[in-house]
Amino acid sequence: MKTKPDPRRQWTWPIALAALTIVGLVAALLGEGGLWWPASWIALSLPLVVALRHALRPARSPDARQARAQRDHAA
Amino acid sequence: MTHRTIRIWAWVHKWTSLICTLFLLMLCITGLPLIFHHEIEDAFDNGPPFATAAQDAPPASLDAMVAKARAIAPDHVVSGVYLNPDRPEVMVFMPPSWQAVVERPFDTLFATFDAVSGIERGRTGSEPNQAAGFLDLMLRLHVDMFMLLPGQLFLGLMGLLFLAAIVSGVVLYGPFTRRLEFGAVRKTRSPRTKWLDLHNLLGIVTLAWASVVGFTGALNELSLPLYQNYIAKDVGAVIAPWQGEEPPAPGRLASVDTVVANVSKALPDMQVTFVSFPGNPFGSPHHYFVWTDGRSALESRLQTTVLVEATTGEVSSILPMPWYIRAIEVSRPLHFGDYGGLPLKIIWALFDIATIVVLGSGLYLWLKRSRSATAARPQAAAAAPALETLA
Repeated sequence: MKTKPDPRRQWTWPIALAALTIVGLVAALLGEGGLWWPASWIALSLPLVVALRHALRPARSPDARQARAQRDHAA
Repeated sequence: MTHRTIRIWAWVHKWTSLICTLFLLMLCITGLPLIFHHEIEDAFDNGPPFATAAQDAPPASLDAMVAKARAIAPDHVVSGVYLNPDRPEVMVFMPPSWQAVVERPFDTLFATFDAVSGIERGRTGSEPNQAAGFLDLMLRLHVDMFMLLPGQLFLGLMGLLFLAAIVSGVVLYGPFTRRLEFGAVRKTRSPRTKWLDLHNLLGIVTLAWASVVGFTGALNELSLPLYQNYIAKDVGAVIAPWQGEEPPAPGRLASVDTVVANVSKALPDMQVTFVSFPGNPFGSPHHYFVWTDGRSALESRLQTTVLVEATTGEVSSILPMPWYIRAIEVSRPLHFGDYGGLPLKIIWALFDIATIVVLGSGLYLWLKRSRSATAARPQAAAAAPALETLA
């Protein structure tokens, strides 16, 4: 009885992070000094930060899960 | 996606991963110190400090360094001189013979010199660098596992399997995370579920980086045959008029200093990085074969090669660079991560560690699955989609 998953929503993050990675890889390669290097560092760090945040996020308590399930169900 | 399609992709993911995982783990682990090889070398360099150049002082004579190197190993040949563009250092290479350049490249001896003072800083076996042995070991494991070309081609193939595993993994990411929020890690469920979620999360986040580094790594493993092709076809065509002529005797060779000076005059925007001696299989029997880098960051990726007449030291021709050699050149920094300062190297290391976790968790998921799948086969048929057991 879950809401129908939206494939666009499912792929938003993966596509955004892959695009950021590519931008970061190319920025330092083609950029001639200046702000290109820091821009590259930031673009490439973001996917890592996102991964770390999700990996280290504390587990939701069963109660919270239940509440969320109910909320989803209502939606 | 039908259940059958998912099963097929799961099969592809399982086998491409299983075959390459242990080698990829080795590559990721040995690659980690190699990312920082510059920093490690500098930290463990206990040779004399580099001399500082006085204003307008002429650089030390390369010919004198070559003569010193020849005296170290009179039974070897001098195959080339490397002028480090990053620090005032010159390396002279001395393989046992010309054939050994291709067949036993790691038997090549070398001596390093201070580019400013011309003083020897070290040589094979007595390098100023204490970390050199460790880094050499990491490099050999990483490049060819001590098996030369067969090892390189094998690891290149493992790289391609890794790419196939990434593609199939992305396809599976859809059905496996369909009902989950992005990045959800179900920590209150079984350890296997938790690690499946972590595998999916880190796998999808490192997707672009791992694809680029995997592909450029595989391309690098093919570089030896590609360079041989370049020398045989492109350079071979240019030096065809000299074919049949007697190669000049070592005593008649033009001075290396003259060669470098003439190339620098012909290409003022480029800096000479490597001078390959006449007779080197990666060059010409009748010429010095000179590699140059652009001086700017962007152009330093775009090398130019120059043929210099062996006896006169005059520039003979500036060679066009075929696309596949350009591809290798551009792929190098994208594999090494050494083109954006220390922060980029740290980012490279973090992505590398994340990839190790993806590989390790993938292995764990497979090991756990084989046990639970055998134990629970009767029930598995009844269990509805049971996607997780496919991983």
